[in-house]
Amino acid sequence: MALFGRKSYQTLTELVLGCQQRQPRAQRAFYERYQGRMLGVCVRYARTVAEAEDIFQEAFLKVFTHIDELIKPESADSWVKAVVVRTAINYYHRTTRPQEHLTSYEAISEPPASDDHLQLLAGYDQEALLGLLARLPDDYRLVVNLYLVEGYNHAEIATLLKIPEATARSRFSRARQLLLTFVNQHGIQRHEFLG
Amino acid sequence: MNSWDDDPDELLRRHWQQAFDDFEVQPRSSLSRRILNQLPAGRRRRPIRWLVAGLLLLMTAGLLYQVRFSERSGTKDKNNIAQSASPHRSTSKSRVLQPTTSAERPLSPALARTNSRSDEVTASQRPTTRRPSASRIETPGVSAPLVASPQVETEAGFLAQTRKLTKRTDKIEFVTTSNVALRSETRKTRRNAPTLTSLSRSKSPRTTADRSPATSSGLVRSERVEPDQAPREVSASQDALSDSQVATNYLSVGTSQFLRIAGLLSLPGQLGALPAQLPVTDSVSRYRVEDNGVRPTQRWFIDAVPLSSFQWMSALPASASYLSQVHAPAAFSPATWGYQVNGGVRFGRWQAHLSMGQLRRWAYYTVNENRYRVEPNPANPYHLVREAHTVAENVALPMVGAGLSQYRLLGQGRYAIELGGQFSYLPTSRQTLLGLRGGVNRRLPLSHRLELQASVVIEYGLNRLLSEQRQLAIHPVVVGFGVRIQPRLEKP
Repeated sequence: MALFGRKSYQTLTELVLGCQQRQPRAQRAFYERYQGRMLGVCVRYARTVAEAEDIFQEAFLKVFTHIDELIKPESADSWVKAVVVRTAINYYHRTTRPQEHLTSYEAISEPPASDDHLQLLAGYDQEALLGLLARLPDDYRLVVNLYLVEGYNHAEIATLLKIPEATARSRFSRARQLLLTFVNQHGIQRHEFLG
Repeated sequence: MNSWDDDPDELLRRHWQQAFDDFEVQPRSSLSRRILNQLPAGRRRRPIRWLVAGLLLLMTAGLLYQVRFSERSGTKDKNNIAQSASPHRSTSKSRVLQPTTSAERPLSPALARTNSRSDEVTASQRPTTRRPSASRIETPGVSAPLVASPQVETEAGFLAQTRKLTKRTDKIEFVTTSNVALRSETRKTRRNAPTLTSLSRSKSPRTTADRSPATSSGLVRSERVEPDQAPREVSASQDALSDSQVATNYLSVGTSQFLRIAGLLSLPGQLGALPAQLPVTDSVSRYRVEDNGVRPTQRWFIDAVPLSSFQWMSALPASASYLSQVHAPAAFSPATWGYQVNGGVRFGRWQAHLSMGQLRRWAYYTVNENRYRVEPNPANPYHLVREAHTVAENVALPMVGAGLSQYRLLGQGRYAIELGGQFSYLPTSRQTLLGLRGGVNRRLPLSHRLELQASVVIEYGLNRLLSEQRQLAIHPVVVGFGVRIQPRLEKP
């Protein structure tokens, strides 16, 4: 017991058990443990920071409401992330998709996807990748996140998004082409800028 | 095999996962508060409860201490009074304030009684057969003569009777009217026996200078009868003299018990020749007095300080900060007002206090977002611009702390200045703040025991505070206008 009765939780299991017992300090510690990473996940999926915060809030309320269902406390990291991702997907279905307007990205002529472009895309830093993600259409961004960052395969993505697997594949394919287009544009821009 | 199964984007996936593996965005404090306040069952225990509980504990402890000390001093005072009045010791505690023209005449109880009779001092006296000076014990609703046992010396008898007759809730008034010095009885007392008569030991005329130290010491309080009243006292009947001229002094035993001892001139004929040696009334304070003149039960103080803070804020230069253009536009405005409540004790010129309260951080700053938009310009049609938004926040920063300071009286005691330090802990952000604290107080009498101090307090934080996201550095400079209530200060 520390100053002001602030109990320290030595292990993740203790922390989860404290949350399951609705201990306010455990809940706060649990929240502080995941807040940064999970809001980062939400930012990747959302169009704006305000949307990300909405997803984040909804996800954490779900986490604390359903934490009793967590059988293995040691797997809380992946469980929390799964809850956040599912919340982001639900938010997309509930809010984003009705507002979705496929833009003229469909009409963008696909540049040849060379290995150079892939290498170039793989060399982007975090901030640049976030910029590219933000420029993607909502459904493409969702698929790219799920496939490239979360590591789901197309079948799982299809299940999560309730779409056919072929649709998931084609969406990712188009999203990748679009990313390469951005990279190509950025390369041209960079070439023009640097001479 | 389908070409998709080969996962041709493995390189891309690996890089993206590495890039976003440590990607974190700290939520705003308002968002965190909103979430934590909406948690299913466990509403977050607010730190203000701790602060209120601490204050209540402090007040209860102070009250218990005062009550306990009062009880103890009530018991001790009876001994202290007698011991301090010993004729063989002239200490500051037992300072003799009773000038009598016949003070040096040793008188036996019998002689004292004789003189009393010869001078016809009979007013309000209930002379017993064995006491030289009449005494009266007046208790509200009860009036009992104080009679010494024949075998016991006067003062011892007085004390014995006092102990017997006093209850804590009784008010006992012991009035002695005589024209002889009570000191005369002390020669027969035992060496360590407490004696009352030493109170009239001084030979020199009393002056204000004589009175003030004793008055400030709080042990012996004297009320001097003006010289122009003396002839009337002498010429009038002694009954009237004892009733009207002898000021009432109270020697309290216990919390509300008072004992008054009045000495009269022994020789009325000398009044004209020695006008300064006039009847005075000596009383013994109920309190045991510390060396510095401050009664232990009157060491406390409590003050409330509304604080207005000026906070010089800046974004941390070396952090992965999303903040820019930090401003504190509302310095010293009502939006920045917090408060601090202090309670503590004084030891001589030093005072230690515990404090609780809260500061307010009022600022606005620009937060850069992880969003970009294309803003074509003639030079670059794909110019990426990072989006940003401005946040104005007004955040409460609860704090508890402790401090030590020294005070001095200035301007003939009208002002008190204090300088010290304070250590504060901010539970919400788990940070500490060490600050210098200084103030100027104007002392105003509130009652005969209490005084009020209006103060201007300045605190300067020696270390920085960080915001919840640790992206904003705060350098607090706090100004407050406080009100303090405490027992009247004696000049240390």
